[in-house]
Amino acid sequence: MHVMKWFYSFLLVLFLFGTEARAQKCDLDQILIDLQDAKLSKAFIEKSELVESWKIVKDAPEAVRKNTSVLENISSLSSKKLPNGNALDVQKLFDNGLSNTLSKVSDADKVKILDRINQWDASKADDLARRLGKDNYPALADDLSDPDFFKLYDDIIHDPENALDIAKRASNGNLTTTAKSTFFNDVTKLGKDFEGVVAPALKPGGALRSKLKTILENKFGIKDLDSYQMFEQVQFTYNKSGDYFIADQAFVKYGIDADGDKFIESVIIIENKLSDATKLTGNQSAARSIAEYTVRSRQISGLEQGLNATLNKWLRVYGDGSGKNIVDITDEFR
Amino acid sequence: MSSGKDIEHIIKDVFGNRCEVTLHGDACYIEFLHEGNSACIAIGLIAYPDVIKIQEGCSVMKKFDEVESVLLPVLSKHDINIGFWKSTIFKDFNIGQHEFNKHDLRAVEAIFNEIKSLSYIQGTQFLNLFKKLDQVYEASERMEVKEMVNFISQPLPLRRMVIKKLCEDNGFDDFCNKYIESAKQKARSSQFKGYDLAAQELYNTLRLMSKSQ
Repeated sequence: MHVMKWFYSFLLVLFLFGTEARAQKCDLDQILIDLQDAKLSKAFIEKSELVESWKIVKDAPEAVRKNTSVLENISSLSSKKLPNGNALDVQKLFDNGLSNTLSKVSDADKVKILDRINQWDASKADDLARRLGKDNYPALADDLSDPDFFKLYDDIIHDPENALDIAKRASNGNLTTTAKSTFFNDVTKLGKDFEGVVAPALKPGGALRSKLKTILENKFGIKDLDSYQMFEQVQFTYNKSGDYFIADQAFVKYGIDADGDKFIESVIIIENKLSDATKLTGNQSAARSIAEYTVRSRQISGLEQGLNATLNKWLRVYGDGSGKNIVDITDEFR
Repeated sequence: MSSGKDIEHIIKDVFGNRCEVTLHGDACYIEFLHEGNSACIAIGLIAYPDVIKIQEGCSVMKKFDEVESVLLPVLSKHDINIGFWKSTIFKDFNIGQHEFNKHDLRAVEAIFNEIKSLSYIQGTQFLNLFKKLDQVYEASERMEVKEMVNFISQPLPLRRMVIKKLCEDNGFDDFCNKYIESAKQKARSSQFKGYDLAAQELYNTLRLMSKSQ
């Protein structure tokens, strides 16, 4: 029975390789060796399109080219169309580095990565192929074999204007995760530049200070902003599961009661967004609807981890997308 | 390509091999022994993909084991968890704003040398004033509460209960009873949830302790 299946596979391959077979003798030799794998030969008989997928990864390690789940995912990718109507160049994607990425991860992670890429628009997969190219981010193929890093890449390409917020959460506790590739430096640069513009503008004497005071008084009845202390990049936990967000700026007003117990009277959260259209991240949106936070940051002088804040007000400072200019501060969110 | 471990090693080289350095994404802790108790210089960090910013407010902290060994189990039981590095006393000081590229290890060394100089001036002076718990007690008793909050770590009244007991303060029972009543009122607020039960349990524990303990 096994011999028969192998024979049929051989005939199928001869048919599919057709007249190219002589020109591609090496490929033919290689596929005949791989066809000794019963699972692969069965898959080729049942789904002839997998032979085309195999050809895309024919130079990849055995663990990639003989994995039928990988081949099925490649087949799906090959059917994707770019906005201009052209087919996604899957060969380029794999040749530029995705084969390398997949060769370094477990079989389960190979499938997870390809499943995820299959869920992207073709243009995002094409962007990855371009970035993996030698002239762009040569270390990216290796970096993507780290599951945490791949998730970070996945999150950022779906919400590029919040790249910095996403990267900051990922780097918490692991200073090397986001430093691995220059890709992250590039995609987070605008966000970092913008934070560098907003923070000084909110401090006493800053360009936005007066408008901040006006909006706090008009919207929230807060008239004593000068009693608040400004902190940058404060992590707040907002539920018992430990989910948290990072406030770009937090204005905190403390109280000390007669016993000496310290408490937070009020917190004003300021989120910096590159443009008016930039939405809050998922964690920021979830936190905004919750009344009570706990300081999660390990060490900020004067703002101890574990202190609770119950009255929280949110404002948004947004720019013109350049990372250099502030457009407005508002209590309205996208 | 440098990593968090490379940066940790440089900080350890700067502060000396007797220190333990722990680097997190949002903080760096440089721990050492001072007169038999643990002390720590704590520096807040903001980590970006390429650079690390150092927060200008820095703390030197000291842990008196005789206080913390009694207090922390009670706090933990009642889910009162203030401060990442649990200290008895602390002093905040300013080290200025710094920023370095994660891969520029020379810049890391230069900045932490500067922080070491500043923290030696501020930290050593502070720690040498408070080698023994008696010195903490005497200094705190001379302070107004507003001043004390910048000296004894939160939750301050609960720590004071232990310090007063260990330093045989005559007003220990009155102080504890007054605080327990106050904590009962405050416990309605989520910010002080469990403080009443913790105060009562701590008082019960402290009352059973003999003077020699």
